[in-house]
Amino acid sequence: MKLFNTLTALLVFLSLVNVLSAAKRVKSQPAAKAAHAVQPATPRKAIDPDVAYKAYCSRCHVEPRRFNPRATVTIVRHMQVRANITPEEAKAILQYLSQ
Amino acid sequence: MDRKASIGVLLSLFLIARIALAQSDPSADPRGSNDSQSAADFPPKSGVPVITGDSGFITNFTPGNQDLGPVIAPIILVPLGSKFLIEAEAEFDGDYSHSTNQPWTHRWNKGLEYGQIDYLATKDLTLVAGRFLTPFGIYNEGLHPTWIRDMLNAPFIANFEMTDSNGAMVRGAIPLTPGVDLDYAGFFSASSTVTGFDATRAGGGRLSLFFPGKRLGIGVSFQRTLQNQRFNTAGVDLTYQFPNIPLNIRGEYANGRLLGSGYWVEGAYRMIHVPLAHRFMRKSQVVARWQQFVAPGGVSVGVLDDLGLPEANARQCDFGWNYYLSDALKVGAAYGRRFSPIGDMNVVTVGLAYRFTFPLGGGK
Repeated sequence: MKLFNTLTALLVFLSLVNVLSAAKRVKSQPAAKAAHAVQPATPRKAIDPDVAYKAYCSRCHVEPRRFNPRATVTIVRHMQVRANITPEEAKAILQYLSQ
Repeated sequence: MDRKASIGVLLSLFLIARIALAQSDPSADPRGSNDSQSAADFPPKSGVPVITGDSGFITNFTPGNQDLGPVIAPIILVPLGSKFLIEAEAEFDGDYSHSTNQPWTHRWNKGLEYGQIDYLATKDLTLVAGRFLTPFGIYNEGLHPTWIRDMLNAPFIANFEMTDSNGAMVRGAIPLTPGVDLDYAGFFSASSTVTGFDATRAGGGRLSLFFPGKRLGIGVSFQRTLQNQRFNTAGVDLTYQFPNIPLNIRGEYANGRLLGSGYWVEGAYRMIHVPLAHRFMRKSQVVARWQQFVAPGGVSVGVLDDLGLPEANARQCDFGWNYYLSDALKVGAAYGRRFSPIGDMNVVTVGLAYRFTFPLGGGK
């Protein structure tokens, strides 16, 4: 029962974080739309591939040699799950590995 | 593991890989994403199955004992569409031991480290089902492969977390601010006594804050064992990479009522900037680790030995050196001194580790 309560609390906490994160995104959308209305669209600041690779990959292992792009996609998806990497960060790492 | 079951699992994985290859056949894809892929098409829409993994040979010398530990751990990764990934790792490790005036003994352990299907449901959430590495601390999920770990020997308390779970897991990363990610993993495991698929009935998870810009991670883990004896295990962990020097610091603390408690702190420095013998030094790494284990009261020596834990309280300092012959092959050696009420001892370790990767398609 204690475990159930702990897991429930954990799920509620994660849900709250998720909701707050989503609310923050929604809240920022009208402002972004207004900005688009008065000035040309500027691309969202992308994650630096070098920073992403060094932060997420080098924290555990040395840099591997390059593989073909489609094998790299598979390996990065594997690491996306294992190392809890967001899709944006994974894309930046793919860019780093394609350089 | 039953031989028929092993063959069945391998055949199934091979068939799935063939199906995935057929799905990702560029000749069937009008976009034709392959070797000739241009930068504009990057990243490719789909991956190809990959066989990867590592093998190693680690030898430990302690007074009167010699242990040889060959290990091979192949991994197969099969992407299905853009949301699914099937991944499995088998592990075959040998244990060849010899004590003074005793004959050599040996045995081979075979098992499925993990065999799981991942569904990347949303950008913040991944659902995992099957057999997976228990998300506790940083060693089990992140550092246990021989080619990744900086010190050849695992720390004492890695035995607290070196378990596999059979069940389901939710995990992901939620960016709280541009500079902070909240990583989470929660799991429930059912009990299994099938050889090679054994698992304990347990639930728990890990939460951590990761600061990518500062390269700092701080995590907490919790596990409630729900089998025979019910008890909690909890831990904290930390990773930090210095921004201007190639130095990694890692550490963990864990405490389990029936397992005891302990911690380890490790620093690994890649000697890229050492001006002497640059060709040699840039491929070298020095490692130092300090660890301590406090044995639980009322637990027999045999139980601790079965868990791979020291038989009594122990402190150990280790100094190691790794030389990377290539990004995939390293040799290493370490010297450690263990301090314990049952006797101090030297621990010498030498070994090598090799990482292999074979893409099953997509060109070279």
